[in-house]
Amino acid sequence: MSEGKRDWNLAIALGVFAALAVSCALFSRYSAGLAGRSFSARLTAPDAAWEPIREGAVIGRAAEGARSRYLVAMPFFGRRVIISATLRRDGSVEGATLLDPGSQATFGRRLVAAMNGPGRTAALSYSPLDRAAESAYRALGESLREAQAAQGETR
Amino acid sequence: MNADPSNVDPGRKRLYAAALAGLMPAFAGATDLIDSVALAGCFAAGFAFAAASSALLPKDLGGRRSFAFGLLAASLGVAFALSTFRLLAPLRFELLYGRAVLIPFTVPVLEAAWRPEAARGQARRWDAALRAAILSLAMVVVGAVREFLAEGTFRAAAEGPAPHAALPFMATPSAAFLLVGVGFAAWAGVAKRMNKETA
Repeated sequence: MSEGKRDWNLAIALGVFAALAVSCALFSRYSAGLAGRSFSARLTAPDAAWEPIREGAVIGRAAEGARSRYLVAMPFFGRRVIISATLRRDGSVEGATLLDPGSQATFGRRLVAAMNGPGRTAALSYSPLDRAAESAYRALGESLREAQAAQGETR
Repeated sequence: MNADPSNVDPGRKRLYAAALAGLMPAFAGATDLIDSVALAGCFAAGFAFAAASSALLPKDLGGRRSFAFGLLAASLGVAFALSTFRLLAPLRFELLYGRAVLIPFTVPVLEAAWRPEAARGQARRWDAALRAAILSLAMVVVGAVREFLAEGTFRAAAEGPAPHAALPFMATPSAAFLLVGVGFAAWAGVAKRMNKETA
């Protein structure tokens, strides 16, 4: 086969793959946009812009005004507990809600109770001896504070 | 189609056993039914794109270039499947995509992408499709069995907390190795028993 024909074959193959890659990128962008809107709605902030983070258990956040709502997928024994955590600008937790406990409902409730802080009705079941929730709570608090600090730096 | 496992061509048996073993990263990632269906879809798309690329590219392109195109095609196939999954279940996508990016680098997909010039376009048309379907089905079965053993139910169908967490460790990645090992042992046992009966 001549060199010219081989070059043409290669050029056609490259063209087809470039068209596939462009359509794949456009489709990915479209699905990312729809997914972001779905996450913002799930965090009861439908007008806030979704920002993916993907750092540890933190999936992303929807920032609105002085507070940011974080979507968290906390791993626990091979499963995930989905939590929404609202942080103030200074990084303190304003509140947390259990969105999807999966099969770890007890752990999820304990973790949310710990995040909501002592003295609140939701925190009545939390005890300082709750080791499983406490270690997860500390790790999650650190991740959220880091994410909030990074958001402050970028502003 | 011959149902007797003892009569399956040994070469073909070895090929499927090697392909199943090469899919272990995907089996480890398939922790439940929905994840395994998504991973199986990604695998089928990646495999189909890689096989189509290696079958359709001109023979004079050269082995290395063809392999590179095959890998690129597999990655694009997986990306298309993942974007579709993201539209259907955004949260599940966020939890799954880290596992799905391994799919183009599993042995069956690499094998589909690699085809020496002489063999390109020579394979039977339905061979690749059949292999992709069987391996995808195996992935779904592993995910479903792991979820059932770990949760006692299928989360996609169940409301509220799982009734019986029979074997919670089945949700961990190492359980996939155990399950596939048990599956191979059971298959070998059945084949041996059938051989004895026919002898």
